[in-house]
Amino acid sequence: MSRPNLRQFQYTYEQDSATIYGSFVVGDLGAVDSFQGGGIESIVLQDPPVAATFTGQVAGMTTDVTLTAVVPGDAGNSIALVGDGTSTLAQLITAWNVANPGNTVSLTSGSGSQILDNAAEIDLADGSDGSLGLYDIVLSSSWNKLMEVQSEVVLATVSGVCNLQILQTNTSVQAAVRARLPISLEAKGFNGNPHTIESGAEVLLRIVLRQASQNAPQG
Amino acid sequence: MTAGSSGAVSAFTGGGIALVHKESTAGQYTITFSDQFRRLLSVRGEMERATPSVVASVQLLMAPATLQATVISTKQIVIQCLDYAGAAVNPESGAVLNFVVVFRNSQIGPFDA
Repeated sequence: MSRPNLRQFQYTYEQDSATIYGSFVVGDLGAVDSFQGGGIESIVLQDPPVAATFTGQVAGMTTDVTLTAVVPGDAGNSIALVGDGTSTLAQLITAWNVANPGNTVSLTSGSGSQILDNAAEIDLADGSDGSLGLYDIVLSSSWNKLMEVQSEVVLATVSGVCNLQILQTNTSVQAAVRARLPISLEAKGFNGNPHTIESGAEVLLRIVLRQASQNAPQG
Repeated sequence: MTAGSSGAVSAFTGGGIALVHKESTAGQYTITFSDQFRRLLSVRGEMERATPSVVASVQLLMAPATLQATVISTKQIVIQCLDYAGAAVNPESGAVLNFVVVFRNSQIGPFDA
Protein backbone atom coordinates (compact mmCIF):
# COMPACT_ATOMS: atom_id res chain seq x y z
CA MET A 1 0.00 0.00 0.00
CA SER A 2 1.32 3.43 -0.93
CA ARG A 3 1.56 5.91 1.92
CA PRO A 4 2.68 9.25 0.50
CA ASN A 5 2.65 10.91 3.89
CA LEU A 6 4.86 8.35 5.55
CA ARG A 7 8.51 9.21 6.02
CA GLN A 8 10.99 6.46 5.72
CA PHE A 9 13.55 7.02 8.41
CA GLN A 10 13.46 6.74 12.15
CA TYR A 11 16.44 7.57 14.29
CA THR A 12 17.63 6.17 17.58
CA TYR A 13 20.59 6.79 19.81
CA GLU A 14 20.81 3.10 20.51
CA GLN A 15 22.69 0.74 18.22
CA ASP A 16 21.37 -2.58 16.96
CA SER A 17 18.05 -2.26 18.70
CA ALA A 18 15.13 -4.50 17.91
CA THR A 19 11.44 -4.30 18.68
CA ILE A 20 9.38 -7.38 19.30
CA TYR A 21 5.64 -7.10 18.82
CA GLY A 22 3.81 -9.99 20.39
CA SER A 23 0.57 -10.82 22.08
CA PHE A 24 -1.10 -13.47 24.15
CA VAL A 25 -4.70 -14.52 24.63
CA VAL A 26 -5.87 -15.26 28.14
CA GLY A 27 -7.95 -18.28 29.10
CA ASP A 28 -9.54 -19.43 32.33
CA LEU A 29 -8.05 -17.96 35.50
CA GLY A 30 -5.38 -16.11 33.59
CA ALA A 31 -3.85 -19.10 31.83
CA VAL A 32 -2.24 -18.42 28.46
CA ASP A 33 -4.42 -19.89 25.72
CA SER A 34 -2.13 -18.85 22.88
CA PHE A 35 0.64 -16.41 22.08
CA GLN A 36 2.34 -15.04 19.01
CA GLY A 37 5.16 -12.79 18.01
CA GLY A 38 8.45 -13.15 16.21
CA GLY A 39 11.25 -13.35 18.77
CA ILE A 40 9.09 -14.81 21.55
CA GLU A 41 9.73 -18.41 22.50
CA SER A 42 7.11 -18.84 25.19
CA ILE A 43 4.64 -17.05 27.42
CA VAL A 44 3.19 -18.94 30.35
CA LEU A 45 1.31 -18.17 33.52
CA GLN A 46 3.94 -18.76 36.17
CA ASP A 47 1.79 -20.87 38.45
CA PRO A 48 -1.16 -22.06 36.35
CA PRO A 49 -4.51 -22.94 37.87
CA VAL A 50 -5.09 -26.59 38.72
CA ALA A 51 -8.40 -28.36 38.40
CA ALA A 52 -9.83 -30.09 41.46
CA THR A 53 -10.11 -33.85 41.11
CA PHE A 54 -11.31 -37.00 42.82
CA THR A 55 -9.92 -40.44 42.11
CA GLY A 56 -11.16 -43.54 43.93
CA GLN A 57 -14.48 -44.87 45.10
CA VAL A 58 -16.91 -44.40 47.97
CA ALA A 59 -19.46 -46.67 49.60
CA GLY A 60 -21.69 -48.41 47.08
CA MET A 61 -19.19 -48.25 44.24
CA THR A 62 -17.15 -51.19 43.01
CA THR A 63 -14.60 -49.58 40.71
CA ASP A 64 -12.52 -46.43 40.82
CA VAL A 65 -13.55 -43.31 38.97
CA THR A 66 -11.87 -39.99 38.29
CA LEU A 67 -13.84 -36.78 38.35
CA THR A 68 -12.37 -33.44 37.33
CA ALA A 69 -13.68 -29.93 37.77
CA VAL A 70 -14.33 -28.41 34.37
CA VAL A 71 -12.94 -25.01 35.36
CA PRO A 72 -9.55 -25.13 37.10
CA GLY A 73 -9.26 -23.26 40.37
CA ASP A 74 -10.08 -23.21 44.07
CA ALA A 75 -13.81 -23.22 43.37
CA GLY A 76 -13.65 -26.83 42.24
CA ASN A 77 -12.80 -27.89 45.79
CA SER A 78 -16.39 -27.17 46.76
CA ILE A 79 -17.78 -29.77 44.38
CA ALA A 80 -19.44 -32.52 46.41
CA LEU A 81 -21.63 -35.32 45.10
CA VAL A 82 -23.75 -36.97 47.77
CA GLY A 83 -25.37 -40.33 47.13
CA ASP A 84 -29.03 -41.07 47.87
CA GLY A 85 -28.93 -44.81 47.39
CA THR A 86 -30.80 -44.71 44.08
CA SER A 87 -29.11 -42.19 41.75
CA THR A 88 -26.23 -43.25 39.57
CA LEU A 89 -22.99 -41.31 39.61
CA ALA A 90 -23.83 -39.92 36.18
CA GLN A 91 -27.16 -38.68 37.48
CA LEU A 92 -25.50 -37.05 40.47
CA ILE A 93 -23.05 -35.31 38.16
CA THR A 94 -25.87 -34.03 35.95
CA ALA A 95 -27.80 -32.77 38.96
CA TRP A 96 -24.72 -30.98 40.30
CA ASN A 97 -23.96 -29.35 36.95
CA VAL A 98 -27.53 -28.13 36.54
CA ALA A 99 -27.48 -26.63 40.02
CA ASN A 100 -23.96 -25.20 39.65
CA PRO A 101 -23.51 -24.10 36.03
CA GLY A 102 -20.43 -22.05 36.84
CA ASN A 103 -18.67 -24.83 38.71
CA THR A 104 -19.30 -28.03 36.83
CA VAL A 105 -17.66 -31.43 37.01
CA SER A 106 -17.05 -34.21 34.51
CA LEU A 107 -16.37 -37.91 34.76
CA THR A 108 -12.97 -38.32 33.14
CA SER A 109 -12.57 -42.05 33.73
CA GLY A 110 -14.53 -44.94 35.18
CA SER A 111 -18.15 -46.00 35.16
CA GLY A 112 -20.94 -43.49 35.77
CA SER A 113 -23.55 -46.21 36.18
CA GLN A 114 -22.49 -47.03 39.73
CA ILE A 115 -24.91 -46.14 42.52
CA LEU A 116 -23.53 -44.45 45.60
CA ASP A 117 -24.88 -45.48 48.99
CA ASN A 118 -27.11 -43.02 50.75
CA ALA A 119 -24.97 -40.19 52.23
CA ALA A 120 -21.80 -41.50 50.58
CA GLU A 121 -19.94 -38.41 49.40
CA ILE A 122 -17.43 -37.65 46.69
CA ASP A 123 -15.47 -34.48 47.43
CA LEU A 124 -13.16 -32.97 44.87
CA ALA A 125 -9.87 -31.53 46.15
CA ASP A 126 -6.48 -30.09 45.25
CA GLY A 127 -7.81 -27.39 42.94
CA SER A 128 -5.82 -24.18 42.95
CA ASP A 129 -6.19 -20.73 41.44
CA GLY A 130 -2.42 -20.55 41.01
CA SER A 131 -0.68 -17.21 40.81
CA LEU A 132 -2.59 -14.07 39.99
CA GLY A 133 -1.53 -12.64 36.68
CA LEU A 134 2.17 -13.45 36.86
CA TYR A 135 3.59 -14.36 33.45
CA ASP A 136 6.96 -15.63 32.31
CA ILE A 137 8.11 -14.49 28.89
CA VAL A 138 11.09 -16.21 27.31
CA LEU A 139 12.64 -14.73 24.18
CA SER A 140 13.95 -16.77 21.27
CA SER A 141 17.36 -15.12 21.35
CA SER A 142 19.63 -13.58 23.93
CA TRP A 143 20.05 -9.81 23.94
CA ASN A 144 22.43 -7.49 25.67
CA LYS A 145 19.90 -5.09 27.09
CA LEU A 146 16.20 -4.83 27.69
CA MET A 147 15.11 -1.26 27.13
CA GLU A 148 11.34 -1.36 27.28
CA VAL A 149 8.39 -3.63 27.89
CA GLN A 150 5.04 -2.12 27.11
CA SER A 151 1.74 -3.92 27.36
CA GLU A 152 -1.86 -3.16 26.57
CA VAL A 153 -4.91 -5.16 27.59
CA VAL A 154 -7.53 -5.53 24.86
CA LEU A 155 -11.04 -6.33 25.98
CA ALA A 156 -14.51 -5.34 24.80
CA THR A 157 -15.48 -4.46 28.37
CA VAL A 158 -13.54 -2.58 31.01
CA SER A 159 -10.69 -4.70 32.35
CA GLY A 160 -9.77 -4.89 36.00
CA VAL A 161 -6.11 -4.68 35.03
CA CYS A 162 -4.54 -1.26 35.37
CA ASN A 163 -1.12 -2.20 34.01
CA LEU A 164 1.51 -4.91 33.77
CA GLN A 165 4.76 -4.48 35.63
CA ILE A 166 8.14 -6.15 35.30
CA LEU A 167 8.35 -8.01 38.61
CA GLN A 168 12.13 -8.23 38.82
CA THR A 169 15.00 -6.01 39.75
CA ASN A 170 16.68 -4.31 36.83
CA THR A 171 19.80 -6.39 37.46
CA SER A 172 17.76 -9.56 37.36
CA VAL A 173 15.81 -8.74 34.23
CA GLN A 174 18.91 -7.63 32.34
CA ALA A 175 20.61 -10.89 33.27
CA ALA A 176 17.50 -12.74 32.15
CA VAL A 177 17.51 -11.31 28.63
CA ARG A 178 21.21 -12.05 28.27
CA ALA A 179 20.71 -15.68 29.30
CA ARG A 180 17.27 -16.23 27.73
CA LEU A 181 15.69 -16.70 31.14
CA PRO A 182 12.11 -15.64 31.85
CA ILE A 183 11.08 -12.03 32.10
CA SER A 184 8.40 -11.86 34.80
CA LEU A 185 5.46 -9.61 34.08
CA GLU A 186 2.69 -9.13 36.62
CA ALA A 187 -0.80 -7.83 35.91
CA LYS A 188 -1.88 -5.35 38.56
CA GLY A 189 -5.35 -4.20 39.43
CA PHE A 190 -6.35 -0.63 40.08
CA ASN A 191 -5.68 -1.16 43.78
CA GLY A 192 -2.10 -2.07 42.98
CA ASN A 193 -2.53 -5.74 43.84
CA PRO A 194 -1.85 -8.66 41.50
CA HIS A 195 -4.86 -9.27 39.32
CA THR A 196 -6.03 -12.09 37.08
CA ILE A 197 -6.50 -10.95 33.51
CA GLU A 198 -10.01 -11.65 32.28
CA SER A 199 -10.60 -14.77 30.21
CA GLY A 200 -10.82 -13.85 26.54
CA ALA A 201 -8.68 -10.75 26.88
CA GLU A 202 -5.64 -10.24 24.69
CA VAL A 203 -2.47 -8.52 25.80
CA LEU A 204 -0.44 -6.70 23.17
CA LEU A 205 3.26 -6.62 23.96
CA ARG A 206 6.00 -4.36 22.70
CA ILE A 207 9.48 -5.34 23.83
CA VAL A 208 12.48 -3.25 22.86
CA LEU A 209 15.93 -4.79 23.14
CA ARG A 210 19.45 -3.95 22.15
CA GLN A 211 21.93 -6.31 20.61
CA ALA A 212 24.92 -4.03 21.00
CA SER A 213 26.78 -4.39 24.27
CA GLN A 214 27.83 -0.77 24.18
CA ASN A 215 25.62 1.81 25.82
CA ALA A 216 24.57 4.83 23.79
CA PRO A 217 26.77 7.86 24.52
CA GLN A 218 25.38 10.11 27.23
CA GLY A 219 24.47 13.72 26.65
CA MET B 1 -5.60 14.89 21.77
CA THR B 2 -6.49 17.78 24.06
CA ALA B 3 -9.54 17.34 26.25
CA GLY B 4 -12.06 20.07 26.75
CA SER B 5 -15.08 20.29 29.00
CA SER B 6 -16.55 16.90 29.99
CA GLY B 7 -13.83 15.12 28.05
CA ALA B 8 -14.81 16.64 24.72
CA VAL B 9 -12.13 16.68 22.05
CA SER B 10 -11.01 20.27 21.77
CA ALA B 11 -8.07 19.52 19.46
CA PHE B 12 -6.05 16.69 18.05
CA THR B 13 -2.87 16.43 16.07
CA GLY B 14 -0.82 13.67 14.50
CA GLY B 15 0.08 12.40 11.09
CA GLY B 16 -2.14 9.54 10.10
CA ILE B 17 -4.95 10.55 12.47
CA ALA B 18 -8.11 11.50 10.59
CA LEU B 19 -10.43 12.00 13.56
CA VAL B 20 -10.68 11.62 17.30
CA HIS B 21 -14.31 11.37 18.35
CA LYS B 22 -15.64 11.50 21.90
CA GLU B 23 -18.23 8.81 22.57
CA SER B 24 -21.11 9.25 25.02
CA THR B 25 -19.39 7.10 27.65
CA ALA B 26 -17.05 9.05 29.88
CA GLY B 27 -13.46 8.92 28.70
CA GLN B 28 -14.20 6.84 25.62
CA TYR B 29 -12.80 7.89 22.27
CA THR B 30 -12.88 6.47 18.77
CA ILE B 31 -9.75 7.23 16.77
CA THR B 32 -10.03 7.05 13.00
CA PHE B 33 -6.84 6.68 10.98
CA SER B 34 -6.18 8.15 7.57
CA ASP B 35 -4.82 4.96 6.11
CA GLN B 36 -5.63 1.31 6.21
CA PHE B 37 -2.95 -1.02 7.50
CA ARG B 38 -2.79 -4.74 7.69
CA ARG B 39 -2.16 -5.33 11.36
CA LEU B 40 -2.39 -3.41 14.60
CA LEU B 41 0.72 -4.15 16.63
CA SER B 42 0.67 -1.84 19.59
CA VAL B 43 -1.26 0.97 21.25
CA ARG B 44 -0.15 3.12 24.14
CA GLY B 45 -1.89 6.07 25.77
CA GLU B 46 -0.37 8.44 28.29
CA MET B 47 -1.68 11.51 30.02
CA GLU B 48 0.15 14.83 29.99
CA ARG B 49 -0.86 17.34 32.62
CA ALA B 50 0.86 19.72 35.05
CA THR B 51 -0.77 17.99 38.02
CA PRO B 52 -1.65 14.31 38.45
CA SER B 53 -4.48 13.22 36.21
CA VAL B 54 -7.51 11.25 37.31
CA VAL B 55 -6.75 8.88 34.44
CA ALA B 56 -4.87 5.84 35.69
CA SER B 57 -4.82 3.84 32.49
CA VAL B 58 -5.98 3.86 28.92
CA GLN B 59 -7.46 0.59 27.69
CA LEU B 60 -8.02 -0.62 24.16
CA LEU B 61 -11.76 -1.29 24.42
CA MET B 62 -12.29 -3.76 21.62
CA ALA B 63 -13.14 -7.43 21.25
CA PRO B 64 -9.85 -9.34 20.94
CA ALA B 65 -11.29 -11.99 18.63
CA THR B 66 -12.29 -9.42 16.02
CA LEU B 67 -9.71 -6.76 16.79
CA GLN B 68 -7.60 -7.06 13.66
CA ALA B 69 -10.52 -7.45 11.26
CA THR B 70 -12.29 -4.49 12.81
CA VAL B 71 -9.25 -2.23 12.66
CA ILE B 72 -8.60 -3.17 9.04
CA SER B 73 -12.19 -2.65 7.91
CA THR B 74 -13.03 0.48 9.90
CA LYS B 75 -9.57 2.06 10.29
CA GLN B 76 -10.65 2.77 13.85
CA ILE B 77 -9.77 1.87 17.40
CA VAL B 78 -11.71 2.59 20.60
CA ILE B 79 -9.86 3.58 23.73
CA GLN B 80 -11.20 4.00 27.24
CA CYS B 81 -9.75 6.18 29.99
CA LEU B 82 -10.07 4.62 33.44
CA ASP B 83 -9.61 6.16 36.86
CA TYR B 84 -7.84 4.67 39.87
CA ALA B 85 -10.95 2.67 40.74
CA GLY B 86 -11.10 1.19 37.26
CA ALA B 87 -14.14 3.25 36.27
CA ALA B 88 -14.63 5.18 33.06
CA VAL B 89 -13.55 8.76 33.52
CA ASN B 90 -13.15 11.87 31.41
CA PRO B 91 -9.70 13.41 31.25
CA GLU B 92 -9.54 16.82 32.88
CA SER B 93 -10.18 19.82 30.69
CA GLY B 94 -6.85 20.90 29.26
CA ALA B 95 -5.22 17.52 29.75
CA VAL B 96 -3.49 16.01 26.75
CA LEU B 97 -3.77 12.35 25.89
CA ASN B 98 -0.71 11.27 23.91
CA PHE B 99 -1.07 8.03 22.08
CA VAL B 100 1.27 5.91 20.02
CA VAL B 101 -0.18 3.40 17.59
CA VAL B 102 2.00 0.96 15.70
CA PHE B 103 0.76 -0.76 12.56
CA ARG B 104 2.25 -3.17 10.12
CA ASN B 105 1.80 -2.47 6.44
CA SER B 106 3.16 -5.77 5.18
CA GLN B 107 0.69 -8.55 4.59
CA ILE B 108 3.45 -11.01 5.39
CA GLY B 109 2.99 -12.13 8.97
CA PRO B 110 4.96 -15.30 9.63
CA PHE B 111 4.43 -14.98 13.35
CA ASP B 112 0.73 -14.16 13.26
CA ALA B 113 -1.60 -16.71 14.78
